[in-house]
Amino acid sequence: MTIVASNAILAAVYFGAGKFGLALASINPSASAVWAPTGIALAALVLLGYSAWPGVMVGAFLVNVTTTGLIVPSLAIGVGNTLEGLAGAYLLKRFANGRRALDTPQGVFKFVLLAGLISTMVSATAGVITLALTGSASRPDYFAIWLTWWLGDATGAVVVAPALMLWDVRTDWIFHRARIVEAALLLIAVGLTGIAVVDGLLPVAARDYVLTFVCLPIILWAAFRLSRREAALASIALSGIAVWGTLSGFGPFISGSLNASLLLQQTFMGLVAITAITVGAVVWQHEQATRALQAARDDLERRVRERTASLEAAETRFRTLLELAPDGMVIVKPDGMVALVNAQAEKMFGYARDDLLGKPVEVIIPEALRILHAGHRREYMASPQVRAMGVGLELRGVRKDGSQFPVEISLSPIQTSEGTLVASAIRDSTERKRELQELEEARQRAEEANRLKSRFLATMSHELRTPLSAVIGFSDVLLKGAHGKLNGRQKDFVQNILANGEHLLTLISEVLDLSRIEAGQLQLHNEPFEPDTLMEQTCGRLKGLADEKGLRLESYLDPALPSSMAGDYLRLQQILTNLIGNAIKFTDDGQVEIRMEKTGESEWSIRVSDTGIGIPAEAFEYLFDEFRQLDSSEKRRYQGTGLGLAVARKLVGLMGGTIDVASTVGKGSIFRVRLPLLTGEALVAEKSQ
Amino acid sequence: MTPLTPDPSTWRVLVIDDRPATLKLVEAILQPAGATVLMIEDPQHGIELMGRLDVNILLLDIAMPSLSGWDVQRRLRSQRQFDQVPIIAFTALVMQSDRQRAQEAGFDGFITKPFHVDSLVQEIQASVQHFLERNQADQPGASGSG
Repeated sequence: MTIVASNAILAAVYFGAGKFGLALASINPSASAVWAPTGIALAALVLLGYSAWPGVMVGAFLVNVTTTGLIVPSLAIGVGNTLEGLAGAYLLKRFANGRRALDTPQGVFKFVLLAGLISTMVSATAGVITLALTGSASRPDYFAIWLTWWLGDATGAVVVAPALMLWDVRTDWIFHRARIVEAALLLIAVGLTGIAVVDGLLPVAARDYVLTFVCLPIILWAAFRLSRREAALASIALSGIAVWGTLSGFGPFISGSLNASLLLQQTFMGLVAITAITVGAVVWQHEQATRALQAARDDLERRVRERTASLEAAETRFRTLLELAPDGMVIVKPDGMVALVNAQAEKMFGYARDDLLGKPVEVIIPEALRILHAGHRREYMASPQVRAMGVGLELRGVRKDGSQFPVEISLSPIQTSEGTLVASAIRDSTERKRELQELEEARQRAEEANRLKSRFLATMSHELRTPLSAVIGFSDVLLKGAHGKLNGRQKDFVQNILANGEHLLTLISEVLDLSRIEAGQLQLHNEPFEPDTLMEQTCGRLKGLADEKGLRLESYLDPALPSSMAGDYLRLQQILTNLIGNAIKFTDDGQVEIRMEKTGESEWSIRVSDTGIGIPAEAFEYLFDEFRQLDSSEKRRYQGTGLGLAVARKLVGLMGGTIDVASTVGKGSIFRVRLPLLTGEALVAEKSQ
Repeated sequence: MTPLTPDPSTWRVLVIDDRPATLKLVEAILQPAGATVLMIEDPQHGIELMGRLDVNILLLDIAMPSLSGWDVQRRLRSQRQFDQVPIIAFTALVMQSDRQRAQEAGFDGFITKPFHVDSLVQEIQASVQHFLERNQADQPGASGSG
């Protein structure tokens, strides 16, 4: 609502109430004992602010000018009325908490004093001066007019303003049925009072005093049972009834003149109104306090509920976790009594939960250890920390039926308001112990099997080699001719016996080597050696074989190689012999070349190339497999154990090297062994450490 | 008694081996080389005969069922009278560990089967040579008086 609109409405209302008041004026046309506009103006200026003054001004001017027809005095009285309102509003604002003046009994007192009695003097004085100056009043009447004016305004302020101001205060009206009924009853009581006063239903003597007796009960009823707003309204209604009664010539206030009667009656109603708003303020304050208390209590209750809920949630989570835990959980109080167990613990120990709760935790501990445990428990309480229980000891739990089982326990202190609880997570280690034992047994069996295998291999080797040594030895003796010369054919046969015997011997050696490498039993014996000796000796041993097939055996030794190297000489010789023997075997003409080279800072290589039949690429992957000889369908034209390359590769692997092959079918093959380079000096240094 | 030298003709070799074939083979190799070869299958019997046979080399098989070569060597070495007889292990055991064990036990040589004609003689010669050199080093006085 705009200021203009609210001012216009204010002016209209002021005008209406003023017209009614002036209609009752008897001592002077401008001075009425019933002056509601003061209350309206005060309430408007308090609630709407000082900017409502034009409304007051215009209303007051119009009321007077339409009554007297005199412009200047009406203007002056209007100014007086406006100043009165502004003064009241200012004083209230300055000293009595403004619009909230009626909230406390002290405020009500200040309101009555400042807005009711003091500020109203402004209007009365201004009015009387105006009347005097314009000659509208005679000198002897000045004081009576002033008093009437003042009291009319004061009553108007005290009776009307509170009813309006209190509508400003938000009251949470709760529409109980009982409350509505009560309000209706109050209304009826007020109505009956009015009828009793005005229509004279009661005997004359009684009817004159109806108002005086009925006012206070009604006001107090309204103030206590409904609200101060209703009390203020009731006081206005009763005030109206009183005016009406007085005008009708009834009531307790009838005295000499109408003006005197009205003054008396208005003063009384003013007091009633003050009572109403004072009691109203007390009741309201009480209600506010009750409500605040209630709010505080509600808040407290809500917080308690929330806290309880969150505690319950935490408790539920804790319980759920406890029950979900794979281990048995037992929580023990400082005195050693069981405070909590989970389902796993129930199952593990064969007790129902209730059998354990509140019992000493020692019931689940073997009898022999109970006293000891109680001591340990007290020690733990003295310095609680998260740790495993009985580290290194075989802990045992005892079930309800007395049977025992191995357990692993970890302890953890829980600080609570009841003191330090100890949570223990218990695991039945029967299964784990059994598994460990099985594992150990399996390991022992495997070791035993390995031992048996080694012994079997050693025995087999020995048992095969012994008769073989006789075969080879006798063949050799015969060939040497020390016991009689053989003829050509005989010599050929014996040579066959010797060759096959030696082949068998090689086979046995290689099978034995492979088995030992696989069992991890073949140990390398590193020793210093000269690479040129290795080359010479190996080539020397195989030269005969090459010569037989008419092949050239070429060798190249890289001068960059150290003259003294370290390695397992016999095994190196074995690898070399296998590779060269292989090359000779699969080469029909041309040459076999052996190169030993330094190929890196700490690497050397042995390269054996031939001009033989070559190896198809698809065979590379199984070339080094055991018992694999290429072209096995070809009536095994090439004699061999089929183990040579497999042994060579395994030995190279043991030495920390690699072996690979490149080949072109029909042109030849190249085998290359790469090995870590270890010098003789390095070996000596290593051994002396 | 002929003094022992690397020359096979000075050798009186006792071979103890439970296999007759091996005994015959050794004989077939060593006899043409000029050595005297005595053979016995039973190791227990061999120990008993050692003193009477006046041998100067013992070629001893290790893996024998009744009494192992390890035991035979230990018993003989416990008697001072055979100090001057080199005892050579003569076996089909080819493990490195066996060779090492023999060395630790105090065998004077280790010859693995099978062997070739030439190599057997050479290996025995090497063992004898080694034995003689060591004996000389151990007993400087003996060489002075001899």
